[in-house]
Amino acid sequence: MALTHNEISGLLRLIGLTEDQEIDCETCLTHVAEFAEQELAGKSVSDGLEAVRHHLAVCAECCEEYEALCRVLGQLDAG
Amino acid sequence: MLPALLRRGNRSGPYLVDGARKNLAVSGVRCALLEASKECRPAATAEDFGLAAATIFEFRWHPSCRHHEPRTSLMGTDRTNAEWLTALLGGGTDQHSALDDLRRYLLRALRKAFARDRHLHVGFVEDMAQEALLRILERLPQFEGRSRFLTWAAAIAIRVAMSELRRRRWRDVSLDALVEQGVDAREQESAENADALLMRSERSMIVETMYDVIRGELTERQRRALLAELRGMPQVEIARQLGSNRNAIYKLTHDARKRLKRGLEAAGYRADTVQAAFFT
Repeated sequence: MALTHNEISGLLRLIGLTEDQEIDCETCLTHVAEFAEQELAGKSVSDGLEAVRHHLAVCAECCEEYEALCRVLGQLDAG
Repeated sequence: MLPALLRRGNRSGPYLVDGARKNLAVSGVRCALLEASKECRPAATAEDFGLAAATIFEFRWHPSCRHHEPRTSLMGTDRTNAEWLTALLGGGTDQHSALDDLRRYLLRALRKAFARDRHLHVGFVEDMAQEALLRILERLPQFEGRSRFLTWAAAIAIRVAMSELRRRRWRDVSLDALVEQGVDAREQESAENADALLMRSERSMIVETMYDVIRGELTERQRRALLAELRGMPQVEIARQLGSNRNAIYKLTHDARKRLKRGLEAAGYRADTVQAAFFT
């Protein structure tokens, strides 16, 4: 198993972020709408949503979906 | 009569029938665009399928039919959460209207989400809006009302569409090939990078420890999933090729990361040590 520099760095970054308890992608999807609305409103997110923030940091796919959701909400709200 | 709107051309797929998801094979059905009058009318009705008209909820029209393009107005989407749920869980014309409004909203949302993907087939967003509509209805009991209903629905639609897009882009890439092929080239690249990367002995020790944990403590399945993910394969495709699902793959790689973290910590490399060695 040979890893490139980027792969080593990426893996070490993920290891550094790893928590014993993390929510999975389905749980993230359940709460991400609430998280996005609070973030877009500039509110500090509630403690219960910090797990969503953490999941978005370690899951590139959920993060990509979240960014798309924010983009959509921003554009639709702007009319 | 309810305009029983059916999928374009000869298609089979999921439809909502009596509140349940059913797969129907549909052939030769499309929205009729009457060139002379410039009016549309359904080319088929629910009775064509031996179903009661009021039980089919499918609102797709032929893409060349401009009369049924989604309205730019968001009229109908300003319901409260309670009104959405009441309408969608109810029946009759209220449900019909709510489904139609929701589908229009999802189309708009997905078009915004994929506005940069010019190469996408025009039918992709429509297909995904329809698929998302079904998924949303299936998940309706899970909606807790902590956000606007439409935000929740848009999140699901984006998940559905992006998952499908990732699946399509990666379906011809073998996980085995991704993990195994090009090792020589990668080793070469790795070796070249290693010159710069491992100049500091602490970095070298951390990387060696990480490799030791990968070799000695991760299962073959964890190694393969982790490596495929590091090389960009989406979880949905890893899951497909490993006969699993996205959640299970997340748990698999999460367990692998926890083992790696514990292995590094056991060797004296806590997160802050690694951070200082590599990222400062």
